[in-house]
Amino acid sequence: MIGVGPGGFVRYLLSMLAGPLIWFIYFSVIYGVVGFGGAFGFAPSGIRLFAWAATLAAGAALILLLWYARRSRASIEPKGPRAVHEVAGFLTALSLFAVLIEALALLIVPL
Amino acid sequence: MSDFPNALPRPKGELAELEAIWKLPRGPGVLTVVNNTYIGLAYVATALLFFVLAGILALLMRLQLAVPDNTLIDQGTYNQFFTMHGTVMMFLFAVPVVEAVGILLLPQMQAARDLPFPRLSAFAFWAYLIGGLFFFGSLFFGLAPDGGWFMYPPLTGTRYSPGDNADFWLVGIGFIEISAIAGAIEIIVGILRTRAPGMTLDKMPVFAWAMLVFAGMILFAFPAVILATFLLELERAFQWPFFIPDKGGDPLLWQHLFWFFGHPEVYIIFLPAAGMVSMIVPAMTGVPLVGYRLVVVALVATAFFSFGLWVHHMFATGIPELSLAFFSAASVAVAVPSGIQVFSWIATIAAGRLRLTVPSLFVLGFLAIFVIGGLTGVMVAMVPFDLQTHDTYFIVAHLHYVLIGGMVFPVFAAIYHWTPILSARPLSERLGRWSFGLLFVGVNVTFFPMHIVGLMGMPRRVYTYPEQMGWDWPNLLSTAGAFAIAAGVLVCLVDLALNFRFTTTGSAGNVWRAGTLEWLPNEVYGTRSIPVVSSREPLWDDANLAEDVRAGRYFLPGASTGGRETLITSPIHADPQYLLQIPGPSWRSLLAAAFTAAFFLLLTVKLVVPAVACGVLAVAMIIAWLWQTDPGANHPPVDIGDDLVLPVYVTGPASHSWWAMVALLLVAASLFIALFFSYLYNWTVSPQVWPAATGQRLPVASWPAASATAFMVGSVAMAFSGQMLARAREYGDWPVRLGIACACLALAAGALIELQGHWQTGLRPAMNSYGALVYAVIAVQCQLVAVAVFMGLYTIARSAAGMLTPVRRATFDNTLLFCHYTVGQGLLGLLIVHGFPRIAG
Ligand code: HEM
Ligand SMILES: [Cu+2]
Repeated sequence: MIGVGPGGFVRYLLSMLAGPLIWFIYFSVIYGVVGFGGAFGFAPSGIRLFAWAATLAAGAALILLLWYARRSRASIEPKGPRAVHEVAGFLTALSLFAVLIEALALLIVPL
Repeated sequence: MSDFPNALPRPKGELAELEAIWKLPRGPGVLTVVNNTYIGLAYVATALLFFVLAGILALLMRLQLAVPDNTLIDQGTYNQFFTMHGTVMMFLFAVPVVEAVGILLLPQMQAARDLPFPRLSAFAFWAYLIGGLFFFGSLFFGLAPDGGWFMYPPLTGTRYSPGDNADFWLVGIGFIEISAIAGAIEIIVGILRTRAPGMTLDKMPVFAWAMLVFAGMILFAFPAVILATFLLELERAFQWPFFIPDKGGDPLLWQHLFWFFGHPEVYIIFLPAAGMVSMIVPAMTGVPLVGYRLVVVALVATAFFSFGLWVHHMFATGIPELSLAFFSAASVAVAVPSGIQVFSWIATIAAGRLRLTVPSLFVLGFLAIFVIGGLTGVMVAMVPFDLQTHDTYFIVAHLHYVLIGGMVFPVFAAIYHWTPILSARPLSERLGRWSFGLLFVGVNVTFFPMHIVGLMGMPRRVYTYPEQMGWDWPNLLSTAGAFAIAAGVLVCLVDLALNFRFTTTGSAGNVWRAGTLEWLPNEVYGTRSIPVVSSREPLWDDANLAEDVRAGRYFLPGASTGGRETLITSPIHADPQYLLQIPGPSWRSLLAAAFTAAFFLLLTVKLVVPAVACGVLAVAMIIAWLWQTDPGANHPPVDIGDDLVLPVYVTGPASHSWWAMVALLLVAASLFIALFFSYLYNWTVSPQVWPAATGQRLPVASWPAASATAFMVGSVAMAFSGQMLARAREYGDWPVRLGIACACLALAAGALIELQGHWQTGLRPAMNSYGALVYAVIAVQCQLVAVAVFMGLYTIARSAAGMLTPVRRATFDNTLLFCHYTVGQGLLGLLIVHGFPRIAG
């Protein structure tokens, strides 16, 4: 009768929010490096290279996560977790979209 | 769980007992009421009052702008008017009204008897009402703030705003935000822990999802603006130069902090409104919401992405190009989740047959207006376009389309939709249609021409304009439209006056044949019994549900413990866990709110001694209030039906108060992160005031080492005390009290050592922005330590009063958690303040 404790809840929350959290880390890294990088005296081309690398890393992580969400949706228990995996999958897809859109900035802005 | 756990007929007197326990106090005692229905309704009414007040200011402004070179309102008053209009609409109407609807309806939607902390809701409400009225009252003394609703320095610094006006904003809004946070914590714990058995997260009404996301966003967004107001007030009162460039500050820091709150704020307002729409559309079409999970995804995604957009309010401030493009793209991306919701509503309407009731009309109006606002939103997300329209009436048009479309229309829809739950009869369809028509036409006539006049170059926030600009006809049109809006609001108010007859016994009920639990028969105690939920629209799937619930066939048909109580369930699957005994009516929360408000108000007008007196009284009231909480296992486990026997008291991570404490700590952590950001930010802008450039001596390493040691001793002492509490039967209470006392001393010592360490180097907060930030970190830490010490002493007092035992330890657990957090933040603060200048200079 006693359900999931807070540990279970945190795990649940993290598995649901993994995609947006990766987006958030990506966002913070780019914002931090572009915003504060100048102050640290990084070269613009270095910043850009770094931003590309971050985009690739975030994109790869999200694709991996998507694949994982798909796989586990098919397998484990039918009832509650299924919804989690579905929601997590959609959230990951949206996060991937956001990362890609935001990376457009790198293409558009001339060096 | 079997379907009908309870045998009928129910014992005689059970119902009468329930009614007696939950009834409204009589006479002046009504002010002490804490039931969510009464507080929620008063909360909604107050928010509507502020809507009307701010609306009157808008009408006056529109009258002034109706014709060129008008002299109705002078420039200074106009500045106060638009500032108050914007501020009151955003902080005293938009956020409170959705919070209020949450407090009013969430327990009903989840079939809970009440929220887990009724007195906290009451406190939030009274703080808001009293604080809000005083804040608005400043207008009548010419003391109203006049720096615009976002209060940018340097305009709002002492140089250009020497009067008390700006202080009213900073202190008043800071205070009201605290009330909003209190409400948010209540809502989070309420949603996660008081749902009806079986109502898993996946079966939760969309409005509850929206409110959960809303409250979560408040925890992370509001601390940024609270910090900003705190810093600006420190600058104004004590010349700590956070925002003054000559001294290494930066006015843009304010803009970052403000908009880090301010952009999410837009979604904090919009998401609950969208949640309301997601409830109304299925009720009006008779089919479940299409794409429930996608809508949940959209709510969550919007919440996240909205934290990555704030810089689009600062496109015109000279930001690196890459950042511009980045935030521009992000602003477009956030439109996608909103689009998902719009398509879900349209699909639901297409799947069913929409009845064109008044709520439906407002929903359709919302869709039209909000979509236009969204489109102009994508336009201003384009940097070159924004640079043209920045600070023009185009922006005024855009923001009103989004806000009025996105939240005023849904709120009106909600008023018409949910009134039958609370009133003996529904509102009038005829008057409702008039109200809708006037509002819809009025809004478009008022705000559409503003796009045009904005493109013609009319700046916002001007109190008049010369004749030859060609701006006169759109302005006249706008003014005419504003009166149509006013008429629409008036019609709705007349409708409410004529038809709203509040009742907790015979409400009009489920007139729309909706499927969610708030439409169960509701009395003053909520539903008679608490059903087991097995779908998202239980009333549609079980035709007898309402009758069974009313007859008391389900859980908890009476008052098992003889007092107010509600069922606490697990956060994900909503399995019953324990029965929470909740407190009843009390003057304590009301008086605590009143004295706290008085404290802040008197401080603003610099009456320090009376302010301190009120502060002491407020603390006394809070102690008196807390003293009655944490009752312990004062009742054996009870049978709530279906042979399900639940404890009436739990502690540790399973308890609701533990969750509230964690939420509070998240607020503290967000505030600290915002402070860290400010430190880094001012360093990047003005490294010349940091020690490497000024030669400012840093305290030798033994200072922070001593401080860190003291903090850690505090944590260890608390942990020891916890161990001793568990073994109090063997060793008695003294080791527990001793441990807490040591922890208090150690924490205080840690903070004071850190303060003295910097003071003895000759660093002063008013010297430059570096000094100001170092002392700001210390000040925030000192606040935490002060609260921790207060909680420690309180816990010792509980122990002395025999109210702390190995079982009855929720108070202790909360203190423990808070102390550990205080130590963690203290250590991080030391690391930043002492580490950063040593590494980066
Ligand atoms: C009910 C009809 C309303 C009318 C006729 C109206 C009219 C106005 C006018 C004339 C201004 C001043 C423009 C300027 O001088 O720059 C203004 C500003 C503003 N309004 Fe409204 N408004 C209405 C509703 C709302 C609502 C419902 C909200 C928010 C929920 C809102 C939020 C604001 C804000 C944030 C500003 C900017 C204040 C500033 O510049 O500091 N308004 N409105
Ligand atoms: Cu924004």
